[in-house]
Amino acid sequence: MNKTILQKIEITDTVVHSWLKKGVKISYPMLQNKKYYRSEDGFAFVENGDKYVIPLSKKEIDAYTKSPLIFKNNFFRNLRLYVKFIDWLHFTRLKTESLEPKEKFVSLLLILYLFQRGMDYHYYHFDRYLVYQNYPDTPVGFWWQRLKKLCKNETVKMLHLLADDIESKKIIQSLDKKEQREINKILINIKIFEAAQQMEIKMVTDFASKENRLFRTAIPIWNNLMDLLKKYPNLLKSEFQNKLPEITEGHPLIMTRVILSPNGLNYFQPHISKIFEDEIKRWIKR
Amino acid sequence: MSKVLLKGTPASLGTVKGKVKILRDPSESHKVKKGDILVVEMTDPLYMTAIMKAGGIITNIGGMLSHAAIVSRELKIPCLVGTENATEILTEDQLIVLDATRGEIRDE
Repeated sequence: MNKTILQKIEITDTVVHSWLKKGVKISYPMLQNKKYYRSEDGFAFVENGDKYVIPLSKKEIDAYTKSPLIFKNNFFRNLRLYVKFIDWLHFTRLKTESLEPKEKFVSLLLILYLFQRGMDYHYYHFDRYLVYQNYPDTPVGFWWQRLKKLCKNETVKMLHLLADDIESKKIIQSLDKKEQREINKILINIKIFEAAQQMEIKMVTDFASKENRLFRTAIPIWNNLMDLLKKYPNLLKSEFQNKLPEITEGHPLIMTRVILSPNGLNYFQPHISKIFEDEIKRWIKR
Repeated sequence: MSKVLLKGTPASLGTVKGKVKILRDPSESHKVKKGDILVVEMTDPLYMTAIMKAGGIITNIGGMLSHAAIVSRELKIPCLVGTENATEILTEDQLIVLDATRGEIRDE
């Protein structure tokens, strides 16, 4: 039986099934969602990627607000999985070397897609929520606004409390018993969110090689793809040949989003986009 | 007294003098040398290689619980967040004083 392109680089049905069972979430196509998180003032959205991922549900937000520890646990479960997943993609890329150029191009495109969607789910679904401190309808924001109120919005006071230094003890002692109980509870919860960010950095960095795991995976995929595209420009349809400089000289973070969207995939020869679509659909249907 | 160029929210107390390095995205992290002041729109874990070398951090967006704020407190380097337009106002290699205790950036 003929192997599909993913099977040729050892992304077999068993392997796919195993990742899905572990909880990797890949959706197709990559389209903007209308329901990305937006605060009432409209300013909480800060990055384009936010639009591509379904935000946390109200049920999740309520649970994470009530118990930041649940957020931290879910955050780490997903992060650990994602880090393993991208490390696996990093090594899988090397297997594309033996393929002929067209197949190599499609397989790299597929790996890039898996990387991007895996990242979308973790980064924008979980990570993004750690920066929404100004929005009380988010878990971090709920606790942060309570701290601000108790500290009468005095920045230096809040910084001392977060630093847990000698000054912080004096600040806490100056409060009445009820306020002390409240501030201790607030600080415990805020520290959980802080710890999530600190741990994430340590997990995303491979300290042995001093490399960022995300860069280590994504940049070589992108470079390989662009080298192929420059060498074989007819991978693009004739009517989209004018897109070649824009793609190859564009910024990887921006152009990845462009070429993996349905419109962008349409720039490539029909057999490329067809194989790409078939393979991704095989992946997500399991 | 030198001129105040910008104001922001202190996120990690302290004062540092250094050269401005403006990064548009994490792939430019190699530009930052030890002690430089990293100036970015906002940070995320992808900027860690730059942050580890920086003497201070300035961001356009973000608050006291943002990634930049948390990391700078952990590394004990001054950090000013929410300046809105530091990446536009400051210039590459400009020598500045980042006074994160007063919440301001001054020229040297």
